[in-house]
Parts: sequence; C-alpha cells; structure tokens
Amino acid sequence: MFFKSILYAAFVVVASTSALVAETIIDDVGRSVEVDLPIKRAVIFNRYSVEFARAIGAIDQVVGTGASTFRDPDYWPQFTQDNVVGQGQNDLNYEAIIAKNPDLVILPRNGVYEEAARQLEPFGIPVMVITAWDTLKHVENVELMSRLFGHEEQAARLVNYYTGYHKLLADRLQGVPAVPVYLEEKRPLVTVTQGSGWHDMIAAGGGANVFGDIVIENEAAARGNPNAFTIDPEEIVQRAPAMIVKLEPGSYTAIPEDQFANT
Amino acid sequence: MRSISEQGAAISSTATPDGALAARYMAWGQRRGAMVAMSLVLLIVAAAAVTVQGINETTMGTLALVIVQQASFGQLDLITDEQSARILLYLRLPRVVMAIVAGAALSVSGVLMQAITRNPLVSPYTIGVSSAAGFGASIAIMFGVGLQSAGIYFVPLSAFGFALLCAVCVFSLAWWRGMGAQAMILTGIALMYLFSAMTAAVQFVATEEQLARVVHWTFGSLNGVQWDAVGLCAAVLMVVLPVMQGKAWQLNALTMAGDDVAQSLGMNVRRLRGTVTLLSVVAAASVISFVGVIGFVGLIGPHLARMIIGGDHRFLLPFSAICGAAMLLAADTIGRLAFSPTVFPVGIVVAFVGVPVFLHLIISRKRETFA
Repeated sequence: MFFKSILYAAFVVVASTSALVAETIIDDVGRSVEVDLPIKRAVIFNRYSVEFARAIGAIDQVVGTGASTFRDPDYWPQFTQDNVVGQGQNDLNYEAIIAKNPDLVILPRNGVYEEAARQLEPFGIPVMVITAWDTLKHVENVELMSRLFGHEEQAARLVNYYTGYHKLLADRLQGVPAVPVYLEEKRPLVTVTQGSGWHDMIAAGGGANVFGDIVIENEAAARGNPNAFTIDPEEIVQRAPAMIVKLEPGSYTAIPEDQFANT
Repeated sequence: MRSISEQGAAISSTATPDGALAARYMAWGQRRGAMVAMSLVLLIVAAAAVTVQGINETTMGTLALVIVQQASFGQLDLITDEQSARILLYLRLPRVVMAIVAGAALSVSGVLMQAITRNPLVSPYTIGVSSAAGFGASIAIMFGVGLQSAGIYFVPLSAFGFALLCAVCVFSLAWWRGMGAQAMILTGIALMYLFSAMTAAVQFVATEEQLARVVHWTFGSLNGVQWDAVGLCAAVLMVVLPVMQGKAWQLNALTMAGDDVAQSLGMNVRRLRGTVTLLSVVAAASVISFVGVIGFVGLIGPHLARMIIGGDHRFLLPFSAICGAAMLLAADTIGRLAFSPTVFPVGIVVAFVGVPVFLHLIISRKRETFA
C-alpha cells in the first residue's frame, strides 16, 4: 500500500511537471494570446528579446531567430545558421518558422506581428508581442518571459540584479543635484521627452533631461513624438546642458574569448 | 456605322484583290495568338514549378491534389500530407498567384497609360501613382490608431484613394491645359516628388513601430499576402483585361494615328480616354495598395512585350500581362529562394533583376523600338 502511494505520488509529480497548461496572456500591444506553458520551442525575433531568453537561462528553448540577431555568431554560440528563420522582425520566412515547429513566435511591437499572426494562424502557431527594448517595461518583460519559459528563479535573480542597481543609484544620488543632459537621437537635432525610455534612463542615472519639461500633447504633431522630438539648435544652447549624449547606430563587437578570460 | 474592328477587318480583306496580303495578315495574327497562348502555358508551368520549391519539400502531385481538393470545395478528401498541403495553400499559392496577378495588372496598366498618352515613358510609377499610394499607406499607418473598425483594409483603402487622387490630378491637368506628353510626365514626376516628400515627412515624425511599418510597406513585398487580397486584385484584373481587350482596335487607332484619325473613324476619344484612365489606375492602385510599392514592372513589362510581340494591342495587352506576371514571379522566386531562409522583398529584387535585363534589351535592340 505504501509502495503504491509512493508510486502514485511520483506519478502526480511527473505529470504535473510535464503537463502543459493553457493560459491566456495579454501581450505588449493588448492582444490576448493563448499559449500552452511552459514554452518548449520558441522563435524569437529582435536581439533584445533573445538576450532576455539567454539571461533567464531559456536559450536552449529558442529554436529560431533572425539573421540580424545572428549576424555576430561569436556572441551567440548557441545558434548556428540552421536557426535563422528570416532576416529580422520585419522580414520573416514563414516556411522556415513552421519547419521549426515552434510553440510560440515572439516579436517586438515594431515588428510585423499582425502579418505574422495572420500567416501562422492556419498552422496553430501563436504570435506574442514582447518589446524587450522598452526599458520602462524591463521588469514586466523579464517576468513575462520567465512565466512563458518556466524559469522563474533565474528571472527573479535577473530582476533583483536590475532593480538592485536601480535602488543603489537612487540611494547614492539622493540629495545630489541632477546634471542637465541633452540626449540627441541618431538623427541630428532630434531628442527625447517624457514618455521615452531614454528620458527615464537619464533620470535613473542622476541626470535631468533638458527637454524633459516638454508635454508632447501640447506640441505640434509635426515636431514628433516622445522618442523623436525635433528641436531648434538655439533651444539646446538656451537650455544649457552640462552633458551631451549622442546615440549612434551599430552595436559593439564581442570581446575576444582570450581577452575576456584575462579580464 | 461599322465598328472599328469591322473596319479593320474590311481593310485587311480588301487591301489586295487576290487576298494575299489579307492571308499574310491573318497568318501573322495567328502566329501572335499562338505565341500568347504558348507563353501563357509556359507561365502556368513555371508557376507550378516554383510553387513546389521551398524549405518544405513537396511535389507537383501534392500541389495538384491541393488544387483539385479546393476546386471540389472540400468534397474530395485527397490530401495525405497535411502540413505540406497547408503550406501550399496558405503560404506559397497565394504568394505565387499574387505575383502573377500583380505583375499582370501593373503591366497592363502601363500599356493602357502609354496608349492613351501616346508616351512610352508613362507608367503607374512615373506619373506618381505609386508614390501617392505610399503616402496614403503612410498616413493610414500613422493616424490609423483607433480606426480598428476599418480593420486590415484601412491601409490599402487609404493607399488606393491617394493613388486614384494622384492619377486624376495628372490626367485632368493634362487634358484641361492641353498638355503635351512631356509636360504630362513632368507633372507626374513633380507629384511623385511631392508625395515622396510627404511620405518622408510622415516617417520623420513616426514612432519606431510606425516607421518600421511604413518602411516595410514602401519596399513592396508579397511575404504577407493572403487569399482575400489575391481575390480582390484578381477580380479587378478579370474586369479590366477583357474590357480593354474589347477596345484593342480603338487603342490601336489612337496610338498609331492619333486623336483626329480616331475621331474620324467614329470613336468617342474622350470617353475612351476616360474609361482607359479609370481602369488602368484602378488596376495599378488595387495591386499597390496590397503589396506596396513595386515600381518597375509597369514600365518594363509593356516595353518587353512590345519588343517581342509588337504594338498591336490585341496581342500586346495579354502578352504584356504575361510578361509582367513572369517578371514579378521570377523576382519573387529569387527573393524567396536565393538567400533562404532570408526573404528579400520583391520590390528590391525586381529592380535588381529587371534593370540589367531591360538595359540589355535596349542596347541590343534596334533604335526604332524606342523611337
């Protein structure tokens, strides 16, 4: 009898750990997406999201990504050319995605998620929008991905690491006057205002965005949006920034392995 | 009064007493007709051949079964390989059929615009229709938030509206002011720049996600095509092509002899121009509004067809449709397979492939082809 109970308990444990649970999740753009959790096989476009998957220990569950993510193979030793299923978040190869038989495809909100959802619907592959580059949603995104992939513990460590440094910065900067910062986007004379992730990063780092007082709703639509707000060069001089940050396109190359080992 | 076609037939049969010229003319027509029919068969075979090519291995047999099963409205259950069948039905076939329909519609539109303006430089792209559609799509993407009731058709509808508006502007100005061919092209180019600038302005103030969608749209792509778009564009083509085919003799008279001669033959030139303008713009705009800006086919398709089959619109119209379809099918197949799994937008590939071919033809052909 005792042996039977043990066997039954073991069966329940195995069944509960291997069983998939269907859940409805509201994604970044407010769509309801039904997925079976945990995700065993995912296709992820956009390197920020793939980075999150790696950071929470779910990279082995990523079976496909875009060529624009894979462009630096040294940085992504987990992938081979066989994992490439399209150019990037706007040019997906649907046949290649289907061939990977994923449980879920993840795209950022500046990807072609509507098209992907329509094209993959007949194949029963759900598409979810997670915008990992949105710094304001960092914690929310990491927690969502941990839920999707079933890596809550590692995700919690990542969130603690992130929020820990946030708190440390906030503590150390208490009483320190904020440094006025002008941040210029990749295009000249285009900056950011309240509502942009860059604006929040400046604030978190102890700075004060010199264009942070702009309320976008009160401005002419032609001047842009919180992430790209057009300015007159005289306005920069008038607002007297103590520091200028300029964004440039491109990405850093990976540190060579031997150099990394000696660091 | 005899119709233009009757007059043409009468002329051809009474040109020489012994009817030798008429016989030669008939034979010439039959050869051209056979050429069109053969090209159509070749296009269908080529389309079937490229449809079975892709990441998922499939066969002509599976393709045939999918087509037969769909043609039977699901009454027959023939499919054994469900996954291949779904890929063919939902991904490859809509794409291949749309390449054929879009290429044909753009090319026919080019032929018609060139015919009524008697100008070989006119095409949906050079009179600004494509740029206008691009602008229409851009503002729909930019300001379409909250207009969910219009659904997925909001962007194509806006693109279509602006394309139509641009064409009406160009043609109305041309006829109202009695513009020559060159002035008309210049008007079209001016509008093309205006709409391009306005699209750039929209891109300048767009958010990251809006910008990505606008840029993606302006590339021109068949990657996200579905059957509803294919059906709409095909329906437009099925109306435009037969109607215009019925007016082929009138188009011949207009292009070969000009307005005065056409009028003296009993044609209502004004009405013909109006009908042709409307149908050519609708054909081009309907395609552009769904697949984005594909600029080159409307210009090169008609020229390619004219070089091979001549300027008789009875054969030029269907043959230019086949040429345009073949060009776009080839470009999309290259974009889909050459660098797989990366998929290149067809709008980029068509320029890369089409321009060298076109230049080769220009250089290797006689001067009078473009005179």
